[in-house]
Amino acid sequence: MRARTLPRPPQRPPFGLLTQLLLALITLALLFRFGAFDPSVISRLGNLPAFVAEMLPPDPRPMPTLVLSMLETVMIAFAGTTIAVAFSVPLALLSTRSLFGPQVTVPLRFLLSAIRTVPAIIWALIFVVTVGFGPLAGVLGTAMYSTGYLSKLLYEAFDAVDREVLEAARVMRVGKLAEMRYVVIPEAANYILSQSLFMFEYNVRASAILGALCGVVGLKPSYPAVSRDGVFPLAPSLDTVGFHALSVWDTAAALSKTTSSPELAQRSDPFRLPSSVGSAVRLGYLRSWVEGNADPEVERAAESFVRELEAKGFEVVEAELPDHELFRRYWYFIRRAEASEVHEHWVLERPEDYGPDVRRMLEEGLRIRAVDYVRAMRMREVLRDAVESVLRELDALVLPASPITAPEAGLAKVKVGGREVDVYSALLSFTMPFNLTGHPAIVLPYTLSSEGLPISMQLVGRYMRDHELLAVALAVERALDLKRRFKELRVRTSVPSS
Amino acid sequence: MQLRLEDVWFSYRNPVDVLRGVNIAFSSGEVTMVLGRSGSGKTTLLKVAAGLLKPKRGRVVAVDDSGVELSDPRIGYIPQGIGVVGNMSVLENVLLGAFDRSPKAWALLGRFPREEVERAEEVLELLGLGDVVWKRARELSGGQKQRVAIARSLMHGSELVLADEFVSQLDPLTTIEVLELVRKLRSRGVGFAITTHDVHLVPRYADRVAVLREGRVVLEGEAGSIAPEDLVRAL
Repeated sequence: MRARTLPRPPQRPPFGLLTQLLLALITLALLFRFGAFDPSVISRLGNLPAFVAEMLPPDPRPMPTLVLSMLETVMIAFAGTTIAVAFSVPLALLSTRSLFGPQVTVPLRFLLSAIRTVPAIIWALIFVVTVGFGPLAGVLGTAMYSTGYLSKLLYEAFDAVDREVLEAARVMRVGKLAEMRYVVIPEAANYILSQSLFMFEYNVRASAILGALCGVVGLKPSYPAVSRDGVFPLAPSLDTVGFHALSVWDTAAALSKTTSSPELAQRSDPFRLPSSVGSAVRLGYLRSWVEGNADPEVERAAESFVRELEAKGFEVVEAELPDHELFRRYWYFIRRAEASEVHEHWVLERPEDYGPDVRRMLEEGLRIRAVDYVRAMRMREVLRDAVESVLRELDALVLPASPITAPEAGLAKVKVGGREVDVYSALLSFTMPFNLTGHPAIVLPYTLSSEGLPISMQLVGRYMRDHELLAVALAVERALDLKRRFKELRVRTSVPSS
Repeated sequence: MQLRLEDVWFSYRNPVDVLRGVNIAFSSGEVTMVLGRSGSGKTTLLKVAAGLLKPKRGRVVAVDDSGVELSDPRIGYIPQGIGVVGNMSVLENVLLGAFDRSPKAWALLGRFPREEVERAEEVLELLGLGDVVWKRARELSGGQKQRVAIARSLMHGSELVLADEFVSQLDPLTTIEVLELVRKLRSRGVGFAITTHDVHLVPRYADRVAVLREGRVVLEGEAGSIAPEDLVRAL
């Protein structure tokens, strides 16, 4: 109640004409800055109807897969939100000004806003360290972020509870707990419900991204299968656009939608891939490359992979290829020379803007002789033919994706087969050969090392016959039940904290 | 029981004193009406009396009939907006009055002793709310809400109920209904301190009356001994 009536300030509309104009101008200026009025953008507006037409009618075939993925998304969001609600209500109560003094509410509100500033995806990554990859990390990440967010929404609602109602209870000296239980919570019950549902809906959208943290299948299509338009080049004749996904099926879907080859687009359509190729498949294990050149654990995993395949009726023979050091040599010349060509201007003008490793690599590349490059390009054809001729008798080559498991960050050298090699070349040594020859390769997660790090197997298929490789990979994935198996491993095993 | 305000001064954050040396006493078994215009300090006076606001100077003290100071007086407070919890049932609202003498952990889980529940039902029956025991409080009419608030104070065992603008929002007929109820309860020993600006109610329903103007009690006495004209003039 006021002691005397004060003159009211003159009423002004909250957004005067001038303010509105100013806002409109700023928005237009920003749109201009982002290139919205570029003639090329405007001319491309015609693409919109075409894009919409592409989506109609929707393709019913991926529905079963989509429904299952959506279900997992919803489950992650549900569990995360429920946990968040359980934590948010007490936290929000403690942050309510009409219940607690600033010595409690201020630090708590600060903490909650700190939690909020870290996005859910980062929280999920933090939890990956403790619970490993998988939906659980997503649930905990979602719960953490939502707690920060929901607590704020709730304490705002609690603050807004009619003070008088609280005072009527307070005069009866019922105590803080009863004030919460019998006044604040019932009075704000509708808000608690609506904000929790809002949070759930928000999380369903957010966890669509978090679920992808589990993605581990990788497909490198044949070299020219997918256009490199828009990709900043490293080494143009080696650069290949590939896909990481949850399953072989998903990579096939990605390839069929992105390849510039109409034939591949049609044939790698996951709905057209043959569902059973099992018994007729002939695989070639590159034992000579693996033996003595890989971490013993990786080698053992590869052997057991082969045995399992045989047990499932796949025919596995030994395959021979030229020494992979040969591939490395030519790959090295091409990679270095082409990268240095792309970066020539910058590495000469602003060498200090590169990290020391990359700079050294690029500067070395500038000194590679044309003769070496040309020879490397010619030998590459020879090696491609060698791989092709081996594959004439086989459906795919089998070897580990990498001779080592993921090394500790920052490590420069690792021991492989008794020799010290630098991490970078070790990591690439089983994939680089087929990058050089342009053969399609797919990597499947197989098992975990004793340290809990993933070990993946690689299948290499015939040049520009990516769909055949995908069919084989699909059969392997199914026969060995890799999808389910790896998912369980990921959930059970944690990443070592070292 | 008597609740005494002795030379009470109070101001909110600004330097203007809202209460300026108020002396007044509210007794159980009596209906005291505090009259005053808007802004005269009525609401503040009740809040200070209820212990919700600390006086800047002076004191608020409760004494029993033999003049001994009470450390835990049973006082109820009904704010202008009535203060019932809209999302709870009438019964729960009333049981909150029994919270401080019930086992806390059970009461927080929503379980009250059987005899308290029975008592609450009796009180509601007495106040004519027997039919709406399980209704949510927000679904009630204004007069019913007032009675729920009274029922809660009775449940709490309040000897004195401080009611702010108690009947201001009710229509004339409901006002009379509620005040008749107040009179009935007064005869059972419950005291009421009611702020209002409705002089017209004083002769029939008040035992004592006080007029508050600019934070001071400018007129105080037995309702029967002060002519309505004087009250109007004092306002």
